[in-house]
Amino acid sequence: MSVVGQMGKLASGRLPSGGEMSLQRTRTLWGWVFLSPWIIGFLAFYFVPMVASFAFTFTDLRLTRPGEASFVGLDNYRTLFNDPYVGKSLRVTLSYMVIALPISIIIPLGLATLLNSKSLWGRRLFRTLFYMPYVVPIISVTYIFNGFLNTQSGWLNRFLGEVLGISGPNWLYSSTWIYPALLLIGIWGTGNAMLTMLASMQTIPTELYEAARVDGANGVTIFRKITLPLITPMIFYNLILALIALFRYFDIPYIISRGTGGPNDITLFYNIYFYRVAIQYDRMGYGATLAWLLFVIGLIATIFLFATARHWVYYAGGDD
Amino acid sequence: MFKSKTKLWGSKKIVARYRNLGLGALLVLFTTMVLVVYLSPFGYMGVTAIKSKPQITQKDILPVSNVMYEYTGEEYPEWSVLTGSKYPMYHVPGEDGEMREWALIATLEDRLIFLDPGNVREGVIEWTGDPGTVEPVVEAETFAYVGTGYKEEGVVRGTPYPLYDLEVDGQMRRLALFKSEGETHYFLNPEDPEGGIVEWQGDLASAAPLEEAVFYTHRGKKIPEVVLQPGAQYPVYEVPTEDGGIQRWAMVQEGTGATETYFIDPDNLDAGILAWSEQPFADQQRPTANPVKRFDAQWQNFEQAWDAINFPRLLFNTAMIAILGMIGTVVSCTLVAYAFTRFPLPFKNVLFMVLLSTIILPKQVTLVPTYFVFSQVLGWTGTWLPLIVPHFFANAYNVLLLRQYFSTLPIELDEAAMIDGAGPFRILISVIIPQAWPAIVAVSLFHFVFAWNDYFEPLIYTLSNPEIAPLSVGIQIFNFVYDQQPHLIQATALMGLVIPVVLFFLAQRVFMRGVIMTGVDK
Repeated sequence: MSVVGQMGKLASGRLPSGGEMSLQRTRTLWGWVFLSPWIIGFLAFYFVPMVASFAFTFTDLRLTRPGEASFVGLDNYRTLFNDPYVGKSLRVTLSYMVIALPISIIIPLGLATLLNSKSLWGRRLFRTLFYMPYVVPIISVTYIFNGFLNTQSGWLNRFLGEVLGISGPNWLYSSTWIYPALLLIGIWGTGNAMLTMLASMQTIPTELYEAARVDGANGVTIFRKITLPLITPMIFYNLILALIALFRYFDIPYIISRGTGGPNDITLFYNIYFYRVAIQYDRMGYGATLAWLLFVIGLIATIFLFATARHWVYYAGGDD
Repeated sequence: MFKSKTKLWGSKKIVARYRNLGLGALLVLFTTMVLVVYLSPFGYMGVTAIKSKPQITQKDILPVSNVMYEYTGEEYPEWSVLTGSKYPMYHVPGEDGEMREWALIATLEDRLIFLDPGNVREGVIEWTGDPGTVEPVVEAETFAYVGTGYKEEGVVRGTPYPLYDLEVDGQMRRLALFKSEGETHYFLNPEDPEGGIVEWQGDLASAAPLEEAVFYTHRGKKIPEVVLQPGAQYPVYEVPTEDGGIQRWAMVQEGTGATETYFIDPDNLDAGILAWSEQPFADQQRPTANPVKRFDAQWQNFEQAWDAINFPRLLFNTAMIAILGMIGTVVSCTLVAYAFTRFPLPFKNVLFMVLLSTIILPKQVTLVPTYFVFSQVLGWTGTWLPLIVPHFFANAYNVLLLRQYFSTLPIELDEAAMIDGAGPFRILISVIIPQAWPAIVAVSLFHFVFAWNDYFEPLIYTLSNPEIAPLSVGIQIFNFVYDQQPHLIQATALMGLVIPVVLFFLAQRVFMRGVIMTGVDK
């Protein structure tokens, strides 16, 4: 390794170009060239839209009549605080998040642990099959579960009825059971979190496990004291992704409730309300205000998660 | 010797090996069970997609239909009294000379079949008397006057007057008789009642009264209840019989609790109609007859859905959006990741943090102005451009994945190529990319799946032009239109996932390597 490294250094030292400084500058220039797609993309699709979006919050912009937009000061913010649907939709989003966030970590963690077991045969096949639902288009997923959770003909209720003798609930139309139903649909998309956790588990050196076994640790202790701490970076990564995904949660409840937010506004997630205001009611100015509120809340939640990370996320070798 | 024997049979190694074997089997069993539950929605989908609408409401999991038997024997019986049919009434002489009014059901070679309308419950009467002695029941045709005139002449409003065909002034006319005084008869003209009274002199017996046949319309149950028509289809049942065997019979009439169920034996039609009841036999439990079913998949659902949704069009749209976006993502993310791993850039770490922070930005924040620019400034709504162009400018997830992968590649190969005079582009194409295939495949597949699944942006950008909508939006529109067709919706959804799943299976080996090695993905 070190020999090759030295050779590398030697090689770069022997490069036939005009001096160390200009080579460095040429390479930096090339770096900017290669980086340019992202720089342009960042400015065009993130930075400028963000600034513009913030500017929109002070206007009554309507997309159908953009020329008539006028400055309205803090009117949109006043509306925001007096709009009962803002609180309502935020409550829906947050209360679903409280249930969904732990599940979005525990289920893939469990599956990854199962698939990481050395005693399991055919791990590659299982890994592929458990991952498969992830590639199914979300629209198909929604229709599959629409039928699967059907009160009469759905398999889940038929299983409950015929095997366990329980009459199953009206999953998608009951305000009590719609969250469990959405969770079931969400669990189907955990293939990716499972895969990343599995990948992270496979990087754990086997010497650690062997040493623990020699010390007489059992399976549960090994999992708690070695596996879990060592994959906390990946758990953290998935937690952040899940948090953001839940703040952006839209497709599934929108298709299931057909954008109504029903039953009883229980699935009026924040983005469904946003879509209603900005696109359906054509109130882009107020829609931008709603979006910025979500951004601020999401940012606070993410910063909070990052702040807690110091206490539970393990980074090998100090930092990265 | 003793020692070596214990080593062979009782050694820890062998015990451990068998324990591992058992543990492995248990784990496989458990994982398979979890997998079956986890993938059961696919089962529901596949099965529903090939059912017909009535089959969905059936209890059976697979699409099944009853096995039908087509009756090819003779019509049985040769006559039947059908509900709602009209039968002519006849005067039938009885043995005591009394005349009865019966409805004639059928005329057979040796007998006549009658039904007594006053006593339908008794069933039909097989009459073997001389057919020449029966006469049709007739009644006079009448005309009732509803006008207000002719009161003095004695016409009573609403009274039916018999009709006669008679010759008046050399013309045959159809008139209604309302009064006779000796040889003088007074008539009304039914076709022109207010046109005056017609007087006619003569013997009424020479005029022909108008008569019509009387009919009986059957309103009760059909008689007999079991009728076999050639060419009719009857479901086949497995029927337990008293001798303990099971017979395959075709059900011609289902019994309801108290009444018996009627079968025919397709192999022995001469046995006639077999009555069977659910009453328990001497030493058996209550027997039940079970329908014989066969697997009957409705493959035409796919064809129907394919045509109804204009699937080829949607498929083409989706594939084009996915492939063009994929090219953009792979090219741009490779370049950006290359810049981050191989070039000295000022504030490289800060830039990378900025890149990562875009992940946490809710789409909604940038959506409003982006939508505004795409729709109002560039006029791109109703085209694919808003769904493709942004992907040519890299995204954090895929740059992260590629950066992780590129940084595991030895830099010495780059340097060797540099010594050979290769420029940065040359190195990227002939040194980096050939080594990074798994990661590039992973990125391509991620984008492909993302584009195939993407719903929100296609919804808002293609809503105005359904012709260019991708599959996800098309299926949703289809669902709004065909709400009550769950089998067609599942067939469509199934067709929609075939391509991503097949691609995933084809690329999964390389793909898994790309993901597992970098340990990070979208």
